[in-house]
Amino acid sequence: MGGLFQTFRKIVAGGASPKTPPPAKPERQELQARLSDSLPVIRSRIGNSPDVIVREIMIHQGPVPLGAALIYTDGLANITDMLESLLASGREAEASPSPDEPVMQRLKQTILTVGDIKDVSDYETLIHAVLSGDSVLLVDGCAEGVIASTRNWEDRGVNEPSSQQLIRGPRDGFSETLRTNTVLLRRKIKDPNLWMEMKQIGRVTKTDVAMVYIKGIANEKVVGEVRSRLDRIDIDAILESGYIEELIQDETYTPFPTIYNSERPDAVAAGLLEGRVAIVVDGTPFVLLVPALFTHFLQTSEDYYQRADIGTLIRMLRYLALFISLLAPAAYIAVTTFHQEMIPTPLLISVVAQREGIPFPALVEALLMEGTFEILREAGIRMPRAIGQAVSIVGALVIGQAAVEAGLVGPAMVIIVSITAISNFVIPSFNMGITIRMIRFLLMVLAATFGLFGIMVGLIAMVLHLCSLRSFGVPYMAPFAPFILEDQKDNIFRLPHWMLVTRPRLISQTNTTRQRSTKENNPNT
Amino acid sequence: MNMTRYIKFFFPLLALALLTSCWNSRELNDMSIASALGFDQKGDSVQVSVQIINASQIAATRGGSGERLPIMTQRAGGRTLFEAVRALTTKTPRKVYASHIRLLVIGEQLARNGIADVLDFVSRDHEFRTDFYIVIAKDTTASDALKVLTPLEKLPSNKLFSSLESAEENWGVTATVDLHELIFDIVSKGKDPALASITIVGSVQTGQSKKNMENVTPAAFEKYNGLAVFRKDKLVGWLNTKESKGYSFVVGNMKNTVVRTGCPGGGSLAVELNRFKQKVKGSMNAGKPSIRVDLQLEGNIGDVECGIDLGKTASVAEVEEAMSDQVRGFVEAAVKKAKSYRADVFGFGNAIHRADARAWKELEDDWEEEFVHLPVEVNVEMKIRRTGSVIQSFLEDMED
Repeated sequence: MGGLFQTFRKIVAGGASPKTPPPAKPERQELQARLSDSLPVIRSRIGNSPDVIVREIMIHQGPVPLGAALIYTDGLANITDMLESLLASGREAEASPSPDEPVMQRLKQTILTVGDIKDVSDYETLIHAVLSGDSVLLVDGCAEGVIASTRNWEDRGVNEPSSQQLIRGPRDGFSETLRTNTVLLRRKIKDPNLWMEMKQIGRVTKTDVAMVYIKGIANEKVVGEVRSRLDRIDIDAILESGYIEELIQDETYTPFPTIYNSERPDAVAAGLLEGRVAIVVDGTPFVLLVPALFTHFLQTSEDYYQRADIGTLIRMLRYLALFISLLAPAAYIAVTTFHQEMIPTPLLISVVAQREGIPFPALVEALLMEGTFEILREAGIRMPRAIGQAVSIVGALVIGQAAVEAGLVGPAMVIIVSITAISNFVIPSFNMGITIRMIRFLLMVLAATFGLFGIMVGLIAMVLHLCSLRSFGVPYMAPFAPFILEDQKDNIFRLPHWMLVTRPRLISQTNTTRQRSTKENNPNT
Repeated sequence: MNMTRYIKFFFPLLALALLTSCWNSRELNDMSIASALGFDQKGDSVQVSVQIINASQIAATRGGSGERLPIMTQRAGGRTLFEAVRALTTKTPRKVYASHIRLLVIGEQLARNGIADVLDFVSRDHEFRTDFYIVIAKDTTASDALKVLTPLEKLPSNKLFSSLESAEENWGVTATVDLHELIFDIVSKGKDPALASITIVGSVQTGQSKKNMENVTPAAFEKYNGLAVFRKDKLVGWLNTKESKGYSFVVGNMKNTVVRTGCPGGGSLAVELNRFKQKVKGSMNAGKPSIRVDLQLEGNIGDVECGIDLGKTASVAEVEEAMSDQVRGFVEAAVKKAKSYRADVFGFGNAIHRADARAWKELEDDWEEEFVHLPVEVNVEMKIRRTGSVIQSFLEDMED
């Protein structure tokens, strides 16, 4: 068996890393001084793409008007300010032309009205800047240009996150622009210790990735580990943070997510304040948060916004829903095919009456219904909204009364499938929900072959696996295993804020105190 | 690497999932659920009768339109019980599933010859859940007792089950005995078993036809009828209603009952007894065992059919006195009857055992004989708590 697997791995490994070296970095090519030399180089490098515009202008600085070129990508850059300041300067040029001063310095210091500017002296940087939405000003006779930050493109804006809704809490959500996202975080945490590190990942896409953490709260080792794992990534494209998630997670062969993602700035800010590290990827509203523990996926921001007793009860409800969603069909199969003596007699009679004339064994019945439901659910997600209604009608028929009346499944099974499906939606995190869905099918098969014994074996295997997982070095099942009494305050229970004195112990190890002691904070004393 | 470990773990698991040929998985629609079993004797073979549920007729959703009957009974015989049970499969559509039986009925004939043999099978087989009650079919066979249809409860065995429980709770003339208790009593040297008994009123022929369910008063029905007294595992006789109540008082089974007594000036009066304290104390006096039964009862007057003046304390005391006598009479009658059967159904032997274990060692071997001569002293202390929502009966005013 081991051998078989080795072969399999060799095949996969062979396919994944072809024996080609990474493309040689194009040699750094210095800018040429004359515009007539440099502009053709730039044009040819970008293949004369019509969206990159080279606007040639004259600027009047000094005795003779100088030829200059403004290079930008149409739609990515807003050059109105640039052009205005440059052209206006020409009209007032006679005012104080001081011939000794280099033109470039004068441009930068007194003319350009743009906030962020940088020097550039090679084609590589220049083209990258232009394609990122900055504009570059080249002046004839200078082997140096100016990159002006003019990034401004169509943006979805800050909208309400659609994947993690809540009743009470902020309505803003991340968008596709990295800068907007970091702004949202800054607005929540106005602290100089909120540090960001920028990286560009992706051979082709050169996607901006920001690593955000709070210096002094985040565990330095985790920060270092995130940094080195990000630096190790070598891939052509990062189109979504999911790419990064898969490339940096601790354990690949697990159905459980070990990296949390969120569309909500408040959730990410709360994570940062607990000492986690956020990874913001340009082009996606989903921000990653590490280390992520199992219990993290069953919590929502709202737990902290509602009163503590409500938060606690809702969390308990979620754990209950987790187990229903995981076990309900399996338990039904096990009990009806192996342990009929466990069902109260009147219930057994009615279940038997329902199953009278149903042609399938319980497992097939369950798989049929669960499968149908999964198909409907998947269809519902991808469907154009206009068709959605039709699907829900058809769906209600298929897994509802019609299926029962057709004699394909029993009404009890419809109830089981419905409660399972609804419970699954209670799990706040979509990726954890999917994991539970997958394991559910495995447990159903185990239940159909070994009964409750099989379910137990499956659960034990699952728990063993969960306990072996780590997320950036932190045990995945903490604070259940290892059991940390102190952290139970914010696990299944959510104690009032004045009692949440310390940060989760395994996440932040340096700066663990959030506030004064419980006693001093108690509003009743 | 890690992955190898997983694969090593999953392959055997997968293989196991395929190798399930002889595993006891069974679909619900592949089995016949038995609701009651009956054991009878016929010559030297054992007859097993089974009452099988017709689930679709009973479940509420698929309206029991009366098209078909809610149950079916079948009978098969064999030299051993196990054979007989398996022989049933030749007559039932699917394999009989016995975990859900509510009642085990034993025919009188078999009970008289001893039930230990059949109980072994029931306690040995893993399919029995042992929470069913065991009753004796009096003057009839167990097989017939399973056949009578009832109009209210669709499932006859359910009717018998709940009627047994409610009769014990509210009347005190039956006993709910499950398998463990029964075996325990049979094995115990200081106590003999007593089981509830059931009789059929009317003929089985009418009782088993659908017509029986169509009458307001069913032509044939079953009722509980005093207790069956056993010596070891053999049925030896019956207790009537009064004696059965006496039995329940002594063993502490009584939860609620009604006892009638006469009024001083004629007429009668009934008291609901609802609180019981019972103590059976054995002692050895000069090598002779004796038993004292103390009963502390509390009750409410529920029915006055005479001209007694309940406003007076003295008359309440009189009622208490009369009640005590009445109850003592029940107990003494029960003891007397049991003595005549030489069956210590009260567990007096155990009381002696508890009181003086050393003396019991000598007595236990012929306890049957000792029991017959055992002096039993019965003390009843009766308290009337309430007299209902009126004090004076209006009967008295009427007479004026």
